[in-house]
Amino acid sequence: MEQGIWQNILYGFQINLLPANLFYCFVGVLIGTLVGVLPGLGSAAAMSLLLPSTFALKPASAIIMLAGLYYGAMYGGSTTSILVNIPGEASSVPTCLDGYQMARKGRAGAALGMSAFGSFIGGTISTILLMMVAPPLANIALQFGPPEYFSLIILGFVMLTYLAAGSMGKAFMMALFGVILGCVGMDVITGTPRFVYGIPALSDGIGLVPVIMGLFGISEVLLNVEHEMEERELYTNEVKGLLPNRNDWRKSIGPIIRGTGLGFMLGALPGGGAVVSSFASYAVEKRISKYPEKFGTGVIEGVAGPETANNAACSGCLVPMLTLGIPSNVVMAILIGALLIHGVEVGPLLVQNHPDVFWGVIASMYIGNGMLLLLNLPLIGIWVKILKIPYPILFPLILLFCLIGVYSLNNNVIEIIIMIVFGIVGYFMKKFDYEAAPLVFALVLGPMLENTLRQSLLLSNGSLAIFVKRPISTGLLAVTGILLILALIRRPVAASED
Amino acid sequence: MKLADFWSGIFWLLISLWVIFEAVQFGIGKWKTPGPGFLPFWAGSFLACFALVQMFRTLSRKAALPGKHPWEKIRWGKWGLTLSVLLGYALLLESLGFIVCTLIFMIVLLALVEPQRWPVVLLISMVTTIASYLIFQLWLKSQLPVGILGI
Repeated sequence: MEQGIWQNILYGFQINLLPANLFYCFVGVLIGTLVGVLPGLGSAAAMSLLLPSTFALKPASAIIMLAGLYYGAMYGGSTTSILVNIPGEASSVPTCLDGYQMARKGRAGAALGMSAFGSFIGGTISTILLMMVAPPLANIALQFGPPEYFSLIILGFVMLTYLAAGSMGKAFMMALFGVILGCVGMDVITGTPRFVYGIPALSDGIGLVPVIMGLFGISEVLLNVEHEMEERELYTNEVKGLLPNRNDWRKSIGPIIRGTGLGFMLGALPGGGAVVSSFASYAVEKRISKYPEKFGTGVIEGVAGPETANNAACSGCLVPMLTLGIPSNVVMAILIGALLIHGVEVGPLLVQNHPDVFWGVIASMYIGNGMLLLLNLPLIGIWVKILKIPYPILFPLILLFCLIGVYSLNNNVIEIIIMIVFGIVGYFMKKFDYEAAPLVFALVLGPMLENTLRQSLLLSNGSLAIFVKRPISTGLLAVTGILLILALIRRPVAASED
Repeated sequence: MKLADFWSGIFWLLISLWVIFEAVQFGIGKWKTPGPGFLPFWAGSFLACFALVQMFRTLSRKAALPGKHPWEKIRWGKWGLTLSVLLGYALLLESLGFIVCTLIFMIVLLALVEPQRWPVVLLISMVTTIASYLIFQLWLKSQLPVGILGI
């Protein structure tokens, strides 16, 4: 097994060292950093934007680029948090607390440097963990039948709503609405059209990309134009001395190690991801610190921990995706969508059927993390300049990219209309404090939920007992039950992948 | 948020009732042989329950909770303008073509939503249009509509 891993990872590196793949990996991390730096454009929306342009590529190149975008955004997000006190990405919210205070004290360089090094270490170590954990897990997953998958999806739903930022009831409602949206189109078993109303574009179901671009891209712009746009205060003159000193390292090494473990584990849970991980890491560091009262005034532990954790989570997220075909968050859902478009079925057989995709993406993460370190330390000046683009000029560009991205998917104007409708829906969801993440998660997994439920009921002759008669399924439902009971007693309020 | 939660609860209740109604038309089937309406029916029913619970809880709550995005001082004009320009782009894209449509789109948004100086508006609109044409049409071969210009 040991030797097998090394052979496989060498194979992965061979794929990545092809000039074309190196190029796509670089494009991915570069766009990722850009997206991370720019507030108001999240990695989910950017990924959907880039999706149509990957159609002409090989599946391995496409996923290498898209994955690069995701973890690249984690690096970029910290820059905006530290320099402008606006999170470039939701997962960089905790970094604002201490990173910006460090910048105000003239230590922006050390904060930026430590977050880049932490991200690099977290990203690399968790990729090693991913490499060790994923293949054996895929073997276990081969024993999964419809009831196990059904229970796993239910666990994912409950986990996602449990970790949601606001009301759990609202998160459940969004998940249910997502399941209903997933039913739109032709029923696969009987061929009955559902919720189609004579619109041909709907008979294949509602596309994931227009929904995501609407909910995350358009709605964000609508929220921003409704108020006077403010000038941002930027601490750029103090960016010098990017190498953290010995004292910084001594303080940060603990948070980096804990952040890696925490990020990887939380990333791998269904419903988890980069956002939950960085919040959890901040909370842990504050709790175990000797001087918790200083958190929020510019301590480096508050930057090193969360920034490491959100990058470690990126590798963690790939565990359920590559082994079970289950996305743990919205971004992974888009990645699965991308692979499906390329004709690659994601699930336990992926390792066997598409080793180039599986090992290629793992090896690309080592290379991509290295590229990001180079991109983010010496080239920080470029990103700082991009931050100076005022929002009144930026928002028409974001809208235009959304329009082109959705249109070029199928060259269909109806998809643009669907995107705009979901932009309005997303706007009002934000206004009324409903989260979009459970909706998208359910939209992706809805069809799988329906198929596994109907197959299970056919298998058991209509008895729901099938879900508690099989050990793996029972175990998954037991965890779901425990979570629900915990939720009724007391629930930690974190933020979700939004 | 007190009233807001109540009204959004009503909204979801109506949606769920409509879903249940439709699901019955599709055919719910039996537990042994679930039909096309099976999942929509149950998802709609649960949604209705959650919506009702939310409405009753809001009514019994005494103090209003603050929302993250306040309703005060909203510039509905600019908001509506942005949305109309988006819709206009969708409706005119295939007849006017990508280049003309994009140029107008950029000019209107830059000049009217958060007004910039005219040289800035024109420069950015033209650069964006040409750059996006080069990237998406010529490099990525996205097949954008040609429209009246014929390119």
